[in-house]
Amino acid sequence: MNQLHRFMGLAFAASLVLWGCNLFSPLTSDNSKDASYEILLEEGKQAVNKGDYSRAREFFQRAKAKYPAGSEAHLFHAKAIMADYGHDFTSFNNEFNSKKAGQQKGIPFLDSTTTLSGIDSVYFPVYSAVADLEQILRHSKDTLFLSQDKKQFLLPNGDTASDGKVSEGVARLDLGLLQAVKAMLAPLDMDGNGRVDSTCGRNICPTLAPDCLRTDVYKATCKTGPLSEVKRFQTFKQLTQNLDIDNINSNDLEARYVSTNPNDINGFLDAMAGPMAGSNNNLDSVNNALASHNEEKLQSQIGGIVGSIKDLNNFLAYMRHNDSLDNDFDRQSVGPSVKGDIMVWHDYNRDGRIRFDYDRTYEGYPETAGDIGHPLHRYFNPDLYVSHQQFRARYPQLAADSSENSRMELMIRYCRELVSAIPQEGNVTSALLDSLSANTCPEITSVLRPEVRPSPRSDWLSGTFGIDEEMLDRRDNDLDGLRDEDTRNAVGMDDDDDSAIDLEHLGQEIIPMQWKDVSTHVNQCPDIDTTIAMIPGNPRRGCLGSLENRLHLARTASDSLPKLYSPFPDQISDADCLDDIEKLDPEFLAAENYTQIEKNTACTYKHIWIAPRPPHSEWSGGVLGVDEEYLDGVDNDGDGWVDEDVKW
Amino acid sequence: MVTAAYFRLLLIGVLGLGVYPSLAVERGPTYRGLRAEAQGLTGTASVQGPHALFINPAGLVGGPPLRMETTGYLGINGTLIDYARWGADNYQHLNDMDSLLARIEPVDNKWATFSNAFTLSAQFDDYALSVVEDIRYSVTVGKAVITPVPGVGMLSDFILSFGRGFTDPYYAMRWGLAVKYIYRIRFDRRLVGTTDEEFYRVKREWEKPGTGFWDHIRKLGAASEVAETSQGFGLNAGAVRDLGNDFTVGAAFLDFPTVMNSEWVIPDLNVGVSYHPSIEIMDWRHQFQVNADLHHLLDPDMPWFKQVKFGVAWEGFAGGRPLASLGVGLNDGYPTFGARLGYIFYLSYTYFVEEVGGQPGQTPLSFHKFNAELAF
Repeated sequence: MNQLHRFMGLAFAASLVLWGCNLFSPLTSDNSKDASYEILLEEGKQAVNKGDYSRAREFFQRAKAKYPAGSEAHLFHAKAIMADYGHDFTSFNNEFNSKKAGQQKGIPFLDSTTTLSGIDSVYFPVYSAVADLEQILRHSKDTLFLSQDKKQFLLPNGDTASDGKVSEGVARLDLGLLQAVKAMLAPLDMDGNGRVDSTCGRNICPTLAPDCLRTDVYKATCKTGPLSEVKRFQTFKQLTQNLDIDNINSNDLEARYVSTNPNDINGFLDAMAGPMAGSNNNLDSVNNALASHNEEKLQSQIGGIVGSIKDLNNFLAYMRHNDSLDNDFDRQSVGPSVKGDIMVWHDYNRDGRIRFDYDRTYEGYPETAGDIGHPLHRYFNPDLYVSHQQFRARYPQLAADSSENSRMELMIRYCRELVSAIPQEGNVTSALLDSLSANTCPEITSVLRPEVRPSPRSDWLSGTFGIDEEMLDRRDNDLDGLRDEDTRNAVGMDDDDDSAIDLEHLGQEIIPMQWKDVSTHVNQCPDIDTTIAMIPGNPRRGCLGSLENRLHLARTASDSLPKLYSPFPDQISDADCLDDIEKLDPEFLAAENYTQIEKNTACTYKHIWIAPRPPHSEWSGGVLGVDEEYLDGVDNDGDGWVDEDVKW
Repeated sequence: MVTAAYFRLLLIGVLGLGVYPSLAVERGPTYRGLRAEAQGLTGTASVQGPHALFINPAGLVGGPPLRMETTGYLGINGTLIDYARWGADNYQHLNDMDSLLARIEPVDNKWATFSNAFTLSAQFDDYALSVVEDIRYSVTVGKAVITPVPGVGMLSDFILSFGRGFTDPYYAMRWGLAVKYIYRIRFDRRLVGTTDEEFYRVKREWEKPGTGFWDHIRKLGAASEVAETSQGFGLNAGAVRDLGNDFTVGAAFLDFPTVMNSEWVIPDLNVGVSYHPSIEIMDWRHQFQVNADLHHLLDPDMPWFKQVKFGVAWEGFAGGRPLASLGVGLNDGYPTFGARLGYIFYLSYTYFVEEVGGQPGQTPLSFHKFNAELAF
């Protein structure tokens, strides 16, 4: 019995000494490779609590691998990686708010001082966290649609984080916010490896072996080689530098900063559209839930971001290029997703707008009164246009959008801008301008009615008004409040920013430009005189419209430039042209060493040849500037755009 | 002989459930009583009195002519107190994400758990009846990824159990059966987000103004606003056999079967051995116990450290009534402790720890449990 007493005493004493300790823990090996999911999860949580986010990421990564259905591992991995890079709701909110209310232009996280590594430190954690959270929402067998038109979706992968420990409701708000950031930066990740890095395509060509870099797969991904993402980053900064996310205006975006090849536009937009649609979908569901529970205060805190995302999401959809669809909801008949006849028109009077009827004049009113969509044209021809009331009935979703940048608001706002630009002279009175602004703009849209057909002498030749109606020319051709949206690139059109078409061609058949490299002048541009040999090291110097030709003339015969080429407006050097000079072959530029005066002189003139067709030219017929490009990745006509108006 | 045959039949049934775990759902009610908790949840071979209904009904054999007791306890811990204080200071920031995130650090990623129980039991010879309400709430406020979300959990069991112990002289063993009715309110511990209805119900509860510490403790029970109810019936059974005067071995089949909302509950097979000598000193009886148990033997996923239990106890009796007791144990590798003092009316304190992580020492969940008991 004494032994029992001693044992009891010892047990009580040991209990007090070991209070709070675990006697079995020495029997388990820490960090063992076969640690269970639960162990890894707990280790990760403890690392988070200690602020060791890097270690936490490792544990959660292992937990995900151990048990792919574990939603907590996915959620906490997302949390750890965001914390590891120092991002949280407050920093996100500050970024969005700093770019709103006119404080600062551009998009969140990006300004002129942002470095490549700086943007990568935002994009990479966001990309990873989005992947984690999407896995929680993703279904195992059914596709999850993110947009009403079902264009954006998450495919089932049969292996989702589906254990139910984290509800969809937990994932949605954060996913919506993170997808918004991902969407804005996704075009920078050209190779889709989740990083914005200095070498593009290491996931395709790990060693960057020359043979691999020449493959179609690599070239399709990293169009300008290993530095593609670096270059895209630089142009992306230029593209977005003037964007005001609180007041989206297509005038703030230059399509050439997306790419000088318009055929890249849709790919660029696609990179943004998926996450943007997902963000819009998730934030919308959160916003609706908050609204239905009268959580106005919470709603207001995400309201700014939700509004920006909705606007951007809509806006991106308007900008799609050459898809035979009415992307911006201004086709004559209903059905934006239904393919129709592309709208064919030529800008005979070179004003960037679409004249409805050259035979009708508006005495005492500005010339623009005859252009489709202009407030005066709407005022004088209300029977040609769809009213706002009819438009709302046609597109209930647009009608329900009460944001400041809704499709209808953009249209009304731009209409009033046009009104304010009408000079008060002739028959234009102050009362008329007030009426246009107060009545015409909010009552009559710029969209033509379904039954309206082109006049015999009109810019508009055929096809459905509103389907791929815009030229990539930095002008709002249809005066609907959006510039260079829903653009086209098809046979028989002057799709780039200029052509040699003029009023003399009105009523005539427009024959596309015909040219072909002759065997002695294989330089992918129309030579002016094939009897003159190509210059070694400067094969494009003799090409019609080429920058090299204009530079050469600026140096050797500047007096001939005004006789041969069409000047830019106001005869001043064009900034984009000067940019394009800097993109020429560095060896060529170094060899020629053009002065700034020579560059300025060359860039005072467009690529449009205004002199008669040279007798020994490769240009053998047709209208210069109409379908002049071959689909060869080269700027054949020297206008700074690649493959923008191809001979399909 | 008949009872032994039934016993074998039950054993086959239990093993059958173990072979087909897919038939089973969540584990059954976990109430075991403070005495067992003080002794590391042991007692399969040594439990006596009404609590035997929940640990091993064979312990009902040889009870007093009449015994009635009522108990109520409250389990709190440091994290819970921290949460209650944090809640008192910050509940008004629930509508402001920035403010909440700026203050979330002390509680982020930490679950606070609160437990209490109330029992009313009676035993008459080998028969016992018990009513138990056993509640556990969990709560957290944490970052989902970048925004704050609440998390709640709840498991509340109301159990009405009746059982009887039997003596089988042929096999020199005692065995017992207990039937039970369970009304369960359950909300599995999880985070809830803004598109979940639960989010708003929990938030409303938390936003109610509160002036004192207990108001904020009460808010921890927000999960009851969103929990789902279920009910079912079940059976516990067990047997013990004495090996000499001071040794007893026992086995208990808990929830074999138990059905909740037409679904089988995962059963438990626990075995134990107890060394329990007693001595008389000046008309005072001193009862000693040294227990070793192995639990959850039918669950192939149960880690070993949750299966092994040890307990040691001393209890002093005066005039046939317990006067004081001390117990220590080892549950999931953690020392436990309990002390009880009184005469008819008792006060007790129990320190109980369990492992909620995946390995020993990873994430202990501890409770200080204060109990008041009236026993006739």
